[in-house]
Amino acid sequence: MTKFIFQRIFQMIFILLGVSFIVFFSMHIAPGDPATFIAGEEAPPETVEQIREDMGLNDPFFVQYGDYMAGLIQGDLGYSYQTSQNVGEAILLRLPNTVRLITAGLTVAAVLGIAIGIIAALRHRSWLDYTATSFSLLGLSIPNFWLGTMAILVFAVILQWVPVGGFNSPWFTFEGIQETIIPALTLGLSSAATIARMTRSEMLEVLGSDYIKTARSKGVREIKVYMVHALRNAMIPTITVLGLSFGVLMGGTVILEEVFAINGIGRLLVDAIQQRDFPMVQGGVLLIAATFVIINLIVDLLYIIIDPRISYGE
Amino acid sequence: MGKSHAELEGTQIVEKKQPRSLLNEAIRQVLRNRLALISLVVILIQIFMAIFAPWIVAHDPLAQNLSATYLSPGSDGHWLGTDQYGRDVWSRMAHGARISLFVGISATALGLIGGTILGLTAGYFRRLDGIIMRILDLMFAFPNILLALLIVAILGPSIVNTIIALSIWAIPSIARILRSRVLTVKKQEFITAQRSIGASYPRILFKHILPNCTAPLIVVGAMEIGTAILATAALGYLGLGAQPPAPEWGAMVSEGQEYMFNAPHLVLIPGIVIMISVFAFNLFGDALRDALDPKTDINK
Repeated sequence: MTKFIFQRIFQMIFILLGVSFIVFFSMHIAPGDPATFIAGEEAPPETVEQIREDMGLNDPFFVQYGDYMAGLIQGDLGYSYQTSQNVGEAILLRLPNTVRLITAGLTVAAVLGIAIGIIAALRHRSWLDYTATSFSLLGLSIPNFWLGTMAILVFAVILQWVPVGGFNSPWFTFEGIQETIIPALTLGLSSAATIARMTRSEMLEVLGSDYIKTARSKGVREIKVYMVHALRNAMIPTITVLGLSFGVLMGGTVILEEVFAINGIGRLLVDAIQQRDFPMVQGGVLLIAATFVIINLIVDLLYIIIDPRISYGE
Repeated sequence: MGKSHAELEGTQIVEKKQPRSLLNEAIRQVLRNRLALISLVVILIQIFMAIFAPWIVAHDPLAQNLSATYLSPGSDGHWLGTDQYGRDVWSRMAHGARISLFVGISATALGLIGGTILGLTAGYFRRLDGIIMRILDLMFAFPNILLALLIVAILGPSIVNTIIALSIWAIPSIARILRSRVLTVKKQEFITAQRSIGASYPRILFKHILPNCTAPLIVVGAMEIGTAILATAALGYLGLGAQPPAPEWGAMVSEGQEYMFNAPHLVLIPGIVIMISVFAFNLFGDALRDALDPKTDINK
């Protein structure tokens, strides 16, 4: 068990190093000269050359990569080409908004997804089941940017229940929740669909197993059969899906922060890509990928804790 | 000891009943499923729209007519209305189907080719398995659309770059599914037999292993087209895909947003069409999976 954990952590470090290399290399081969970009198109060649020298752009690739990694370990992600802002600071400033959106979205996805999955399984082959199943497939097909736009039109403009966009109030205030609810529902919907499908099929499989029949024949009450005996076992694969949903939610925030005008990492990243601001793109992509890799590790470890039957590395 | 005549006949009868392959059986089953049939019709309509776009619309999708802007659906000569430049929305939707399907299908095809090569190699050659799987792990570290965004960030926004980005994005999951299938197939006796008679690697891989892996590839392919259409629209919406004035569905939603209050149809129509299109591919892929998955008993 300890061996497995160490193995996974070692693997994770390898992946993180690989990711940083891929990102750095991609930015390196991308067309466009950063020095010209910073100096401006009309700058004299000497100025451009001076900037190149100062930035270390004349050094061999691996020296540049080494410098970048040395900075990264000390928390220095470089400076934006566009605004000369410190990349690390710019990211930290926007991180709380993204964390808020993802946490709220994950809550929506888990609650809605598990609830719909259970209902569909309990009423197998009823109209409720068919509605829930089609809903979940539809949830996977709706473009989230369009759903977000429509939600703004209906709830913010026509009904005026919620503000139009942006996170301007602290989390746990009435205004804060009001601002978060529509973006979170939009974000969580497609993951809720995946989770519902998974929960439904797992519940159906578990409900057909022998130990459920045994529990029933012992006279255990139905509600207890579902909630204690079936759900706990059906939840194991659902946890993996929840972990995977995290990736979907992260991709979703990149798009939805743009729709709802939320100042988060996703919006920072899209703006940086449009302006070809490479240090910013690099920082944003690295942060998102690293978070995703670490969360996957946590999910793997949770798996062992929840299901004692699983043992690794033996 | 030979089998009796009757027994032999018995086996022959059973064999005669079997020429229907898994694929044929699957197609029959899909055609019996009403939802799958509807989704197939929707997909065919889209393909028709995409191929015959220039002949089924009356207007050029890029032609502006500033004397007829913001016409609502049902107007004379423009049954889906016009946009802020007076461009015909129906022509833009029909030509948009070309972009969406072209990107979706070509990105999926390229992804299938790349994923198949990597998956076959990783599954069959044990020495290469480790390194290929580590490369795939690296690609999996970029969640969701992020890998496509990174590629677009390097190459710059355009339709061709969208295809490249989405096909690379599709590779890891296809390769992983195929690898696990290859691992099962290669242990079977007929592969050992091929090896023992000295068949070449390409022959074993492409003639004997690959045909036994088509079921998961078909399912992933159908699903992947839906995902690619959705991602194309998302990139277009963010301004990182097809560039204006190209009639791309996602970019149309983003353009229409500004005029949402006066002309809601500019946002509603492309959004609903994207949804129906992706829904059809997902539904069809789902039905294919149910039909091709040996775990779901056909006779049940």
